[in-house]
Amino acid sequence: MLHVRFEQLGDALVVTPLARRLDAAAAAAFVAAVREQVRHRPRVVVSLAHVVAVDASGLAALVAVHQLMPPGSELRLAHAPAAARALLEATSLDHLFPAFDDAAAALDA
Amino acid sequence: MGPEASQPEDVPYFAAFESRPVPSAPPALGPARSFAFQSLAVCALTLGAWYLAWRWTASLNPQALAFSVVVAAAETLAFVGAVLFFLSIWRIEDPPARPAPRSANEVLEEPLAEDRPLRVDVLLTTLSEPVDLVRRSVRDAKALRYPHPYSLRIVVLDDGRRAAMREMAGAEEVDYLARSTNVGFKAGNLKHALDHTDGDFFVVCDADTRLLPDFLLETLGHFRDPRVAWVQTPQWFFDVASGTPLPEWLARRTGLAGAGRALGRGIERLVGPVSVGADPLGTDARAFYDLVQRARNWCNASFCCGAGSVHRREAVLETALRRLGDDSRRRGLAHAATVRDPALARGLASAIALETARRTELTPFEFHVSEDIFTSLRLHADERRHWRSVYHPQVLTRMLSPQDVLAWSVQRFKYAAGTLDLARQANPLRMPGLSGWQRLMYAATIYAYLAPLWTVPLVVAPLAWFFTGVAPVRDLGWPFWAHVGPFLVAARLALVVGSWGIPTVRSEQYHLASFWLHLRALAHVLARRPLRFPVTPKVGARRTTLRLVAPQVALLGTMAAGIVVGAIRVAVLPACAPAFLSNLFWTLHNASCLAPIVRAGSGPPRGGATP
Repeated sequence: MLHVRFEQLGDALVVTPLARRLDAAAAAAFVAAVREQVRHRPRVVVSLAHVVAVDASGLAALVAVHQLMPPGSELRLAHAPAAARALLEATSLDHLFPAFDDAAAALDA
Repeated sequence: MGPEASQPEDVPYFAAFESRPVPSAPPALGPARSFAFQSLAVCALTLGAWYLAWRWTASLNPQALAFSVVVAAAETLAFVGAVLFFLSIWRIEDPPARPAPRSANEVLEEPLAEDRPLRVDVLLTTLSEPVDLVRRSVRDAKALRYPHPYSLRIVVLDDGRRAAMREMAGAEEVDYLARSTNVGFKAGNLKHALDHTDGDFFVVCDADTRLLPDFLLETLGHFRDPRVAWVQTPQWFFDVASGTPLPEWLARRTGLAGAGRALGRGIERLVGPVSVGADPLGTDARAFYDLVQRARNWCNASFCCGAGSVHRREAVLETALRRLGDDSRRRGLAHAATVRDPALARGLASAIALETARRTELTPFEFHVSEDIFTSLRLHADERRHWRSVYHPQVLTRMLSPQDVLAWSVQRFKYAAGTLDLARQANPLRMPGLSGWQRLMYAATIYAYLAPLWTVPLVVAPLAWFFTGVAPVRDLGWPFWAHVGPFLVAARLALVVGSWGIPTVRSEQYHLASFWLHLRALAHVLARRPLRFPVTPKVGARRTTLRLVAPQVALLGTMAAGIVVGAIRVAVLPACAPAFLSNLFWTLHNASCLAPIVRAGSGPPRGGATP
């Protein structure tokens, strides 16, 4: 069972998966857990503060979450570990889901 | 009419084939034979080029120049096909066997902090196939064995959303997944499965794909190389009729008894085992797998064939993500290109890219009728990762073949139109990221589907002579045979040596006999008509299929009439006897290629298949 913490920060929803890995094993549960919460949110920040590793399935879950959100919405990342940033860049998703040091920085940008 | 309705018996026809022994992979090609093949192929191609040079410079018939040029052009296209074919079977190199990995870290480029057992998903796609057929596939998947602790999950992916299928999965204690739409057909079904599974690897099975117990044990070792994205195994159609051995056939059908048997044995000693009436529909895929796919290993160009393959989840997803990222970025930049203000352009590009990504379906498998080869092409062309594919030559699955001309037509039309449409959408000759040999191998596959462009003129040319006396060659007698003969003999020898022990006769016959189907596929794709995705019927039905082979029947009739008219022509003008003999030779050859499909279309269902 994957736990996710939700916080309201300004006009954004900060979603923090309480897992060490956002990977194939966690991806489906993560999408299921946030599905209802993100549905009407124009801005979501996914905080990877607890996550040490992300794989392609984890990134596919972020794509799926973004697709649940309304038109014109933005999904940003905070606390992304270096390996996750590298994978984002390798898959050309870094321009879609920009990564920031923390949630506040993600919201200021 | 669903397949169920046409199969009244409880025992399916293929039950009789269940105990067939699994064929072993053909022996590896020794260096001597490989060299012999390559020498003969070079010889044949040189002689072919010499023949064509003569055709274009010294043999065109000035009395019928346009006709001559059309036929010479057809011969040139056929020759290009021969060049591509010989190059595509140039070298056979099997991948070294590697022990089955013990844990995840043995197959990953960057090891996990905490190693764990491997996770494997077996994905069985179904739409309308009978429940009992899928049950057999599920039970065989449950019998998979692996030497190390691992987690295996079998999932029935039912696009038919049938209660009976769900019940069967429950009774067999495997997972069942259905989705609300059929978007993307099989590729969409697989994508949906990837959203709900977590295996390091997934095995793609059609409803009738029956895994042999050692499937994972033999294939997963190849993934020790972290660049390997998928492993394809041969598709063994275990229900293909094996025919009657020539000695038996001669003994029984010719009334020669013992003498016939002895004659048959003599012939077999010379040319190897011969079966009469085997594989009436040319569905035995050994020539494709044992020869064509196997010869693509060395240059990393073997492609996935949609079933009986195992894939690295990370590779498939990563490539799909990158496409989504690149495509949406490109779309954003294209829209912003018209905006002068740089800050505004940046904002617009980013907004459009984001919205494109939000609306674009992630497609780990291309949503295309030929999703297997299209996805292979994308992974091979991945410029960052340069994923590798492995063709594993041992048979590790068994499958059902189309059992009548209708099922055969549906399948072949899908292959042909799918491959031609792929060439239109993602031309491998221009796609960045591929090596020269990879381009050549994909091009060879596509080019083969253009065959009617040269087979039809070459079939019609002799008929034109029979009926009108006009020939595309100035002199069809000795000069013609002196030039074409050496090429034909050398090409035949090269093929015999290069494909020793692999039946290729049916492939050659159907190369010509499929002309109508392939022409229709070509017209379909050129007209940009939408490709539908009919499921190949898996279970034979009792239908009249003569209608489907009407073009071939008409052609055979024209050939017979042509031979009669040609014979009369010789009786009146004895000087044209050499031309008559040349045209008779080609026409008899062409007729022998057309005969099997006509026989299959007019005969009893399943071509009277017996084990």
